[in-house]
Amino acid sequence: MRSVRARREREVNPFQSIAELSKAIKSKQVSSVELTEMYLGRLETLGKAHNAVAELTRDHALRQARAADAATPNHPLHGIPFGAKDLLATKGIPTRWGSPGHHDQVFDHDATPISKLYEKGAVLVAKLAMIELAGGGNYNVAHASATGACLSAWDRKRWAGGSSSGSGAATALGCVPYSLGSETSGSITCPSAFNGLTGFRPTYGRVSRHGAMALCWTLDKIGPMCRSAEDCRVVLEAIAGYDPKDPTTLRERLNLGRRNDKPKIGLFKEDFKGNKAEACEKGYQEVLRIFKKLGYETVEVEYPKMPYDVAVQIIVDCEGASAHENFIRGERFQMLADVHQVAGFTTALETRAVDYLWAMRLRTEALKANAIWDKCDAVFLPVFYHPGPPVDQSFDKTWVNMGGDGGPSNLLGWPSMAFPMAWEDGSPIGGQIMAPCMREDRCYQVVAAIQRESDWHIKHPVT
Amino acid sequence: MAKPTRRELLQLAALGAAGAVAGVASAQEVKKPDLAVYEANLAKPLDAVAKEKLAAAVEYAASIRKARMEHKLPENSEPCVRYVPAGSEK
Repeated sequence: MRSVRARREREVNPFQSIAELSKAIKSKQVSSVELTEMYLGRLETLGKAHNAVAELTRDHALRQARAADAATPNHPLHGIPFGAKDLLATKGIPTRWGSPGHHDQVFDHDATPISKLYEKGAVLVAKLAMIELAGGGNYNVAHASATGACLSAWDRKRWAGGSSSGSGAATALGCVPYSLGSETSGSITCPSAFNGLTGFRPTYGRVSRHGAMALCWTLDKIGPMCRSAEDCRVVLEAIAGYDPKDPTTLRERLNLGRRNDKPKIGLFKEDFKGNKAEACEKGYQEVLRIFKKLGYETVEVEYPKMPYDVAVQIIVDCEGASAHENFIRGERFQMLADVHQVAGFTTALETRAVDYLWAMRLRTEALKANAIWDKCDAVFLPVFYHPGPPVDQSFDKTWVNMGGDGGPSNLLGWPSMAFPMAWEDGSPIGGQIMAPCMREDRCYQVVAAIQRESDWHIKHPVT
Repeated sequence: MAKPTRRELLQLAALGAAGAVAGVASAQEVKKPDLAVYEANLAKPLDAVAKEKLAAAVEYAASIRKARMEHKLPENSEPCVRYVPAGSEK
C-alpha cells in the first residue's frame, strides 16, 4: 500500500494545482483512476489521522474515475478528485451532517453543487468531516463532531477550524485537490485561514443550496476551499448559477474575468498590538506592500456601529432551531457530541418571534453599511489575528485576542476570499478580501494578484 | 413516569414564582422551573451536566435579548426580505 502511494506521488505531486492536474490528465501523463487511488490513499492515512474524513467513497470514486478515463476531457475538473463537506447530500452515500444522531442518514439525491461537479466529470473521493449540524447550537469544543476533533494540517495540537473542518484539513494536507465547504457565519473563511488555504465564500445565492443541510436559510452559502485563487475560480465557475430547486439563487451571471480598473482597497483600524498579533501584522504589512507595488490605492473605512453579531446569533438560533426542530425534539438529540450544542439548540427552540424580527429588521438597517463601497472596491482584513487554538481545550478558554470580522458581511451576503498571509509558530494566519454582493470578481482578482506576487499559498505542510 | 406537558411545567414555574414572592422559595428554586420549560420540549430529560450547560445557555440567550433591546430600530422599519440588496452592483 505504502509503495503504491509513494509511486503515485512520484508521478504526480498531490499538491499540484487543478490546472496542472487537468493538463496531466489531458496529456495522459496520469489517469483519473491513478489520481483517485493516490488521493484515496492519502485520505485513508493522513486524512483519517487528522479526523478529516466522514466517509471514504472508494467504490463510487473509482467508478467515476473509470468513466472519466473512458471519456474525452471537456472541462478543467474532468477526472479530478474532490471532497465535499458532509453537509451536502450525495445519492446513496451517507450524509451525516457531522452528527452522531444522523449516523444512518442516506439521501436519494445529490445536492446541486455535487451534481454540477459530476456533470463536469469530477470524482467524489470523500465526504469530509464537519462540526455537527454546522455548529448551530453554539459549540464550545473542537470535538463537537461525530468524527472527533479535526486537527490542523499544520499542527496536530491545533484545531482545523469549523464548521467546514475536514474540507480545510484534507485540502491543505493534499488529500484532495479541492473541496466544497459551506458558511453561515465564518465556516469557510475560518478553516481556510487555520489550514493555510484559499477559500471562497460567494455572494449569498450564488451557489444553489439545494441538497445542503440548512442551518440558516437566509445566511447559508456553499463555496470552494482550494490551494489558490485560480483553483477557486475554476470550482466556483463550475458550481455557480441559478437553480430552480433553490429559489434564492441569483440569476445574475458570475463573471470572474470582468475587466476592472485597479481596485481601491478599504482598510479597517486593526489592533495588532492589543491582540499581541505581531506575526499577523507582519503579513498584513506585506500585503499592503504588494498593494503599493501593484498601484492599488488604500483608504481607511469603518462600518456604521450596530450589533451585527447579536443579529447573527439570533438568526442562527431561530432558523437553526426551526430547521432542526424535529431532531431537537426527537429521541436522538442528546447523541450530539458537544453538550453545549444540546444546551444551545434546546434554548434556541424558545427564541421569540419578536427577537427574530428585530434581527431581520436590523438587517435592513445594516444595508447602510453598503455605503463603504462608495469609498472602495474591496476591503482587506485578517480573518483572525492568530492561528487555530489548541484542540484539547474549550474555546471559552482559548479563543483570546482572535479578532475577526465583526461586521455585517454575512448578514448582507457579501463575498469573501480568504488566503494565507503569515505564519505564527509554524501555523498559518489568513487574510481576506471582501467585496460588494455579486462582485466575486473583485475578491478573486485581488487575491490572484497577491498570489502572483507572493508564495504563501504554495507552502504546504510536510506530509 | 410520564413526561410532564409543557402546560404542567409552566404551572410549576408559576408556582415557583409565587413561592418566591411568599418568601418560601429560594432564587434557585425559582430558576429551576424556567429550565424545565426548555427541557419540556425534549423527548428525554437532560442529565446533570447538560442541565448545567442549559442554565448557562439560557443566561446567554437572555444577554443576547438584552443586547438587542439596547439597540432601538427606527419606527416602522421593515424586516429584510431580500438578502441580496438591490443596487449593490457597483
